[in-house]
Amino acid sequence: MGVEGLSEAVSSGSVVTQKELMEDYGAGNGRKGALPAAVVFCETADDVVGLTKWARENGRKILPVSSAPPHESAVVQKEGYVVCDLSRMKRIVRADRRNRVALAEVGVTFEELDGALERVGLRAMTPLAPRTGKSVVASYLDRTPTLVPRAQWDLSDPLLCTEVIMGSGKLFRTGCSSGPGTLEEQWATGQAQKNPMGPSAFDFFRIVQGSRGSMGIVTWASMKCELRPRVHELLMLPSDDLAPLIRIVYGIAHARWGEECLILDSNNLTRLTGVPGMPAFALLVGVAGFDYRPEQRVSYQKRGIEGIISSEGARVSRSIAGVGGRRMLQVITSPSDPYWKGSPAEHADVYFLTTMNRAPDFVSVIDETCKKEKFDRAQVGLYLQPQLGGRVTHFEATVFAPREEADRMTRALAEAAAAKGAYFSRPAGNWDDLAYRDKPLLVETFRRTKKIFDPDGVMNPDVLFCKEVV
Amino acid sequence: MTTEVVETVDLPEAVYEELKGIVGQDNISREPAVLDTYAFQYIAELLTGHSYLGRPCAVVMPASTEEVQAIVRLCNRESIPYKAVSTGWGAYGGSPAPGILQLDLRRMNRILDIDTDNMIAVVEPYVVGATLQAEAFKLGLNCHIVGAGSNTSILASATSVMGQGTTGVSTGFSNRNLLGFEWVMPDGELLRVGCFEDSDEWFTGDGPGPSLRGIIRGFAGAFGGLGVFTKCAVKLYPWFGPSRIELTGVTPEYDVEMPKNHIAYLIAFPGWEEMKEFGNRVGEAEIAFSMCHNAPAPMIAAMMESNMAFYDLWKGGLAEHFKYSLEVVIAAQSEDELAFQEGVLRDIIRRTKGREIISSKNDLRYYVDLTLGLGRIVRQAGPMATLRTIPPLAQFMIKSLMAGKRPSMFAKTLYISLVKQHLNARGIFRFGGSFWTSMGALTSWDCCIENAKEGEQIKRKWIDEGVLMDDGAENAWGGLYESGCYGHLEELGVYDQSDPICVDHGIDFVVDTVEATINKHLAMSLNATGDPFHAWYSPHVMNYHDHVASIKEEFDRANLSDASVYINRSIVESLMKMIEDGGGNFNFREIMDLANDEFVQTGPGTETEELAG
Ligand SMILES: Cc1cc2nc3c(=O)[nH]c(=O)nc-3n(C[C@H](O)[C@H](O)[C@H](O)COP(=O)(O)OP(=O)(O)OC[C@H]3O[C@@H](n4cnc5c(N)ncnc54)[C@H](O)[C@@H]3O)c2cc1C
Repeated sequence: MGVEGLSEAVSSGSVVTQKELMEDYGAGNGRKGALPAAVVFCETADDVVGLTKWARENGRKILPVSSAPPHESAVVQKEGYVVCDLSRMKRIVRADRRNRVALAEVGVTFEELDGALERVGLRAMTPLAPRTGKSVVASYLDRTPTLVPRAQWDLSDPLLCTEVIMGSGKLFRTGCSSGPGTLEEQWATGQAQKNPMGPSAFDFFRIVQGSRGSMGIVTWASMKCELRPRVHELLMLPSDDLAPLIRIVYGIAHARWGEECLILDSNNLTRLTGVPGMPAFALLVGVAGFDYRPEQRVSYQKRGIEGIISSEGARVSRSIAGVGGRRMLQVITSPSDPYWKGSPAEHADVYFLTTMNRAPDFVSVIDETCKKEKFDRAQVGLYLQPQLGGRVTHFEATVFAPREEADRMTRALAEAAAAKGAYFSRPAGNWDDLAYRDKPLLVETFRRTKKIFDPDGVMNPDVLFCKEVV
Repeated sequence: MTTEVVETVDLPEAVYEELKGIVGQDNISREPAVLDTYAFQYIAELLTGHSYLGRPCAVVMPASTEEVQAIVRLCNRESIPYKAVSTGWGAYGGSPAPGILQLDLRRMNRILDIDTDNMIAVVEPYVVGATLQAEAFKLGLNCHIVGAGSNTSILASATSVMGQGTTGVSTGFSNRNLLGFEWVMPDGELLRVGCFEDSDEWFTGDGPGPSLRGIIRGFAGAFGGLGVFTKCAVKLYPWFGPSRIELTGVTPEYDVEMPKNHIAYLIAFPGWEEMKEFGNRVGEAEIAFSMCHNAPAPMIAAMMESNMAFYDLWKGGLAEHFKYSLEVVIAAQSEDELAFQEGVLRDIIRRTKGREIISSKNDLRYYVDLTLGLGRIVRQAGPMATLRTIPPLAQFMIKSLMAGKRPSMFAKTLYISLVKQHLNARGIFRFGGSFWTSMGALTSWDCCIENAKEGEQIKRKWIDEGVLMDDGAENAWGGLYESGCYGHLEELGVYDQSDPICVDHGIDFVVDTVEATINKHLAMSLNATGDPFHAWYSPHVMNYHDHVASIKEEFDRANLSDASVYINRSIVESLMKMIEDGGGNFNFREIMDLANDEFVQTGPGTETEELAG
């Protein structure tokens, strides 16, 4: 398939069509899929608009990519795609201490953003040890869980306002960034793109978020940031049993205390730290003090959290398997290189939302499915992330195995979890179809929504609800 | 009372009978007297020029989702426009067009579940804030209640309206508190959005993949223009107070036992800039249960036993100088948390030159602060205003003291009215009869204050013109949300709805404020709903109306779910053209009248394709 006129359509972006340079985005490196017709490195929103218009006119489809390779879910599966690579859009437009907000282009990675935020006394909310090269905005657009449930008021957090190019080719801005006025004019009146809602009677950012590029392409976003801790400690609680840890998580959530709060199993703890001999589970709880009486905050919260822990007859450990709190905190909050889960060829994930009290049911599902599938349970890592102030839990199982085997297992695990009521809020991998099974009206509603913003089906139209549902 | 010619639209007999079959004989009415109670609405006079919106053709009171669905399907089959209300507290529950079928959801009044561990409540439409809060308190939880009052529907606010409330700094905003929901779509299909179909739970309404929360509402909802929401789940929040707050006395003189570790304050500042600084710092320090601003006029009105007593005090001129003030409640769960919160609050007060004018703490330090604070206010007001105010103030104080009241009682009244959300509605209706609101963008706190400053200036002009009541001009209401991520300050204008001058020009003040938000980039005001406002804002806000209208057209092809406060593309676009042709010179009152006339003539019930074509 030719790409005539594409270079002219994107004024500042560059167009690549050499096969070896495109393998990262599709069939290549042993992955299934197809090769894109071209990869366009967009540098501006105008480039994306130009590319979108070109794609509409030429009946092509666009796959947006923001992070550096290796690409996991953003991979071309079918012929006829052009990749819109936004990883060169790396401007951090604003790091605003007063308003605790940053505005950054989609190519900015966690490690790049952190440097800019540190200078002004802020920090970004991070997912669990993201891989280096991971785009912050792409991560938030995927509703990837972040580590501090207390700071999450909506599952959409920390994403705030966005600039989006719709499949129709229209450029739109969401939330209060939509106007009146340009960003500069808004800043002049003290605004900071902090209200994600609207404009008026729709939340377009919610439609774009979680859509894996099928509703539009985001070029920048503003995001909630938190004050950078002046004092920051990690309390660690190892346990053979999940039940007491769950009760403690609820206790902390109901007190609105703590920062990071997550449960990892031994396998994940070992993979993250490189240290063997980890306990079956560990609850990790950050406690921090900020610009206001930091020591006092840490001391009363620590006392409170330790009180909750001791009511379960447990005690905080200074270290687990020799790994101290400071190191553990560093590991879970920092970008990881090499990525702790290994390359996409070495693992696969299955994840869903549930509530914390149901987590033990799903641990049983993992145990039983491994047994049934004759898969070594020790090669599955578990990660439980309370979200939304503790109201919801992200349950993630990572199968560490060569890709084909890992895929077989994630499918089996997903099927078994679905039977127990797992909610696949972020469908991905080879289990994404389960999310839409037996929900024809929901699928239809999503498709009708897509048609409004992407009438010709240009935007990544072979994922999620767009796919044929069994 | 004004007499108006009320147009009646009859429902075909067979349809009426069929509806009766759905809801039962006792739950349907077409009695004009009953119907007019739905049409008689607050601010109707600003929309229609008299006290009534259109008279519905009938009212039905379904008891279940199935009944709602059957009604909506019937409406689609028979092309009858319809609109749901949960409590019917606002004008937007009706329609300027006569003949809609009003669904009154008061029989759907159950709290279906409170999941204590996961801090989630599942409610039906007629569950109001007061009910849910009372039940939640028993479990150590609380809910977000909007400033409209605890008499309003939790579901309506979460799915369909706005969401501003005085405890937002710790309980968020209604849009953001919405989890899973059940939706009878405009065509009568039933969709449960979120995790319910998979897990029988309601803990999220997002996904799989994108979130359909994004199509049903933004900072504003569809106001009944996108079908009917029959259940929803909302976030609850931890409550560090007693399972029941004992209340004695009668309005406005409630007395309460202040819960342990809770303190209420009114803090006065030298000016707007210090208020900016204070709000930003209190937000990020995450110490407040509530942080908001109520202007002196409605505050004093809400606390006085009569309008006359209010007026005597107000006319002296000192009271309005309390305007640079913020209310704060801290609610800690332990003594050491209280010590931290109080300490941080004091640090911030000191840095921002605040003075505690009211405090439930009532210690010596407070009295010193009060004296210094009053001294500053007296200096700001000048000797004349002070002298004029002393006699009525002294009279009020002596009367209060003789009745056994102590200064801490003000703190308690303030506390309970913030926790239970009953100050605003009481204060704002008390002294004028009616009000309309303006400005109020959800934006950074700094810009909220800019909105308040601008709103005050604009209002002064309309007070001088005799259109709005003289409430000191500064009558901003609002506060912080989500630990201060954003806030809102809306400018309230109080008027007498029986005075034709007020009715004729009340809207003009709103017009000026909208213009200011556009020209001065003060973010979109909360008026940005309904066709005339869409027509004005949309060209300055990325032509958003196009997308909202597309959503309406896609999901309500028959255009039957009354969109008088939502969107009608053909009306918005013809108004946009008028505004554009006028080159910026246009009369918004005319635009609003035109929109109403056009709506009554063309819709609801006019197929969207037909209009678009
Ligand atoms: C004096 C006054 C003050 C107010 N102050 C505030 C405020 O501070 N903050 C704020 O957020 N709002 C405010 N409002 C607006 C509104 O009243 C509130 O948002 C309230 O929470 C909505 O609940 P309600 O019981 O009033 O809803 P209702 O009056 O029942 O309905 C409000 C709107 O929602 C629609 N609706 C209701 N139920 C359903 C349903 N089940 N399905 C579909 N549509 C439905 C109705 O058609 C109507 O358009 C105020 C209103 C008034 C009159």
